[in-house]
Amino acid sequence: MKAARKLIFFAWLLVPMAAQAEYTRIELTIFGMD
Amino acid sequence: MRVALQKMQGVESVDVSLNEGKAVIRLQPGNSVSLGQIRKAVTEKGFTPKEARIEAAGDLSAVKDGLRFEVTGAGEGFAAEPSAHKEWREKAGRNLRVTGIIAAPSGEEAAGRIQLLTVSRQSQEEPPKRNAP
Repeated sequence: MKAARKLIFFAWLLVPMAAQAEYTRIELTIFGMD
Repeated sequence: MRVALQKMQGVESVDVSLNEGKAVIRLQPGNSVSLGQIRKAVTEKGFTPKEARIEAAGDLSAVKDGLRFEVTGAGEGFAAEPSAHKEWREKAGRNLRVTGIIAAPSGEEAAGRIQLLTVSRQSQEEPPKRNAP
């Protein structure tokens, strides 16, 4: 029972640490817009 | 072009400045949009995408010949400019917030290189919070 509780606690701890890896902003220079 | 970019899933807003020759694309949290997809959409509209200044969350890892920045959600990775290796190596890690400049891909190096400008740890508030069981 104690081991199961420990496991749940560490699982809970790890989930928020799962990284979101993504672009948030891209500023693109574009040729041929004039 | 603005409409084409705006239609992409995960794109929050697009601002195009004709005077500056720039398009600023803001992306929604949890998106999987890649720089390659953005460049492709721009090219299909008859324009030529050049360098990109990006803000992204991702992993910076030390590899055999230098440093590599991976935006895993977008399935893209870039080798860091060699000049940045000494400066940023100690900051390598996962879940970092990075700004940098990615040059237009050349024929030989399709993946491109990133010139790192800033590297910081994401704040503790940003990951989704959970209540204790």
